[in-house]
Amino acid sequence: MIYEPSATAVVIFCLFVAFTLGLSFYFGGRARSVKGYYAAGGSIHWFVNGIAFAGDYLSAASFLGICGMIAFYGYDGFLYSVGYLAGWIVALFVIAEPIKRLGRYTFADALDNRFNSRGIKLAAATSTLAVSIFYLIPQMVGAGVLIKPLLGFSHTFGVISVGTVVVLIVVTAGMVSTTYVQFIKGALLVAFSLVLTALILQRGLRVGPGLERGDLPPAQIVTVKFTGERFVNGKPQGRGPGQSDLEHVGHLSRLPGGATHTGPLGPLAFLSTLGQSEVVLWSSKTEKLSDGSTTTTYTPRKVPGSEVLQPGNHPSFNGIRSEKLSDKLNFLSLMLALFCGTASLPHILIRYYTVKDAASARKSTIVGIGSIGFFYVLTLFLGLGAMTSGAIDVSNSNMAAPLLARSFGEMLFAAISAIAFTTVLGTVSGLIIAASGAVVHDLLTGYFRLDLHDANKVRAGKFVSVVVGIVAIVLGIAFEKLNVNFLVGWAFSVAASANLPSLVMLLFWRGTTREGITAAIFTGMVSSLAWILLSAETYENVYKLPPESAIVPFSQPGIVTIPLGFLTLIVVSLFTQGRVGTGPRKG
Amino acid sequence: MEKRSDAAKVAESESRLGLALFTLYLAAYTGFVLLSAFAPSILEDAPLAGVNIAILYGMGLIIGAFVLALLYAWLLRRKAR
Repeated sequence: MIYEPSATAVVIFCLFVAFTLGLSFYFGGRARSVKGYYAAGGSIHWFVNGIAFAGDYLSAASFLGICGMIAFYGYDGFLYSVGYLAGWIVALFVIAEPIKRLGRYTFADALDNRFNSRGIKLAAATSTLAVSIFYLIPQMVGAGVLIKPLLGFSHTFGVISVGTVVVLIVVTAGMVSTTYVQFIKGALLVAFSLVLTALILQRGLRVGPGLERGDLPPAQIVTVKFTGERFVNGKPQGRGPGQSDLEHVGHLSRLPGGATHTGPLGPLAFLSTLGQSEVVLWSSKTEKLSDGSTTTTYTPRKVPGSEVLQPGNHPSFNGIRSEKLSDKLNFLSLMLALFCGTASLPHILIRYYTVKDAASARKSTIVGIGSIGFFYVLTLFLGLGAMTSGAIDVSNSNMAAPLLARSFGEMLFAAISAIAFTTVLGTVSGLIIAASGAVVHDLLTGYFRLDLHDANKVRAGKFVSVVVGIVAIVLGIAFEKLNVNFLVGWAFSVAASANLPSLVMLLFWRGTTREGITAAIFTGMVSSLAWILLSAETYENVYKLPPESAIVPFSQPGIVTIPLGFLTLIVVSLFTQGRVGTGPRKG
Repeated sequence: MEKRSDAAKVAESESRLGLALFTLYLAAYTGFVLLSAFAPSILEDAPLAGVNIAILYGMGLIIGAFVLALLYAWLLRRKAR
């Protein structure tokens, strides 16, 4: 679909960027020491830190990905909301306070607190880098995907500009500016999602134009010639005479009792009315023709609302309705990885070092759960609101949320687009700080034992941030075509498999040895990565090979590789018990 | 046997309380995931205001997490007094 770039969106976006950069320079002076740069001096108020958790955690995948998935497939996107939020329970009840007590700047500190082992530092730093890079790619790709239709710039320009802004934020004031950017973004995201939800409920539900007679809209066909020319329904794509473009979709075909519109609805009435209605959903099929062109056909079908509000419509969740055990295991595995992944993400864990003590760590987690949970409750209404807004682009599910906002007016569209960008800024800056801390604090001074002064460490940290930023820009351009949600799932699986077994066992089993931790991190990381690379999803989406030829029986690794991490830790620890200097220090 | 400090004792009792609440939530989450995977038909019923169990259970898990978090904070504060 062709989008008209919005001047208001460009202006509001520039104001946002100018404001966040101004803030960063203002805070720049506070980040001269290592503690200032990596942990904001431990001086962030727990409430600010709690909202910053929301800003850190609610990435573009949460906002755009989940809304788009619900808008296109119904309930399934909400499964991610539930899983992503449930993971915070692990963070609050198991991880938060001990990790604050045991560490200083990175979670490697906490793991290594009793042992002072170079192996643990190397392992933890490697897994931090791997997870951060996996998480960075979809954020950068997301920035490019957004900037093209919203502001009319190219993908490459979008990725470079977002990367540059983020690096400036991180380099000027490290964790201080990162925290405030995330705080502002978290607050704005939740507030504007609430505004959108209120507008959706106020508008109520209505049957799409012409659909009350029971007809379906015609299928839409996009053909891309090998020269790159695009045709829609046989005519060149465009808005001029003799041209054609995709129609906006997202309509109800029937309301209960034969009504054509409902008027304002309460939240429960909205859900129950939708459950008794009928929705037009679109499925797509892409074919490669012999002349080198590809054709994508979007076909509408009527789906009962009760089915839309049930899990199992999205291709990734079809397994729920299948009789095959491996399909069901794939679903269980994903839900396990979401549950275990949150408290293993390095950029989330480092936020525990920005507050003053364990009690503040706990309080900020509670604020985080409140704000993030509230947002995830709203995602269901945003997604279903987009599904019935009559405004969505059948070819791009990532645009569902901004287009929903556009159906309420240009200003809201501009605001939501600008917030979507700050979403990317907030998460990417957190990831860059985490990666930079892993390189400087864990690798350079921990593993290689370089004796860096405070000021040199900050300088090295800023240099590494620039390098990681450049790597993120390059990868964001290289992986333009890759599905955004897909990679976030990878990051969660790898984080949970590599980091969670060590974090948990260190806290609850006194027999844990440093060899056990090192082995568990490497085994969890390598096995989950290998599993992903050999899975049907990767065969299909990355290598473009037939998914049936994949080696592993299902795509999500968590259910195998997380227990494998625990097992490795226990076995290796048992074999290395009692060696000099391997056990925990007394006291 | 060395005498443990008060701080360590407090930390231990906090972590025991945390683990109890964690187990409670884990059971609820596991129930949700297993129902979705093996008995999705149960989730179709709409017992409250026409809203089905899939939505009620999912929303319940999100809101329940926050309620448990507040309960945890409240219990710890009462203990501290």
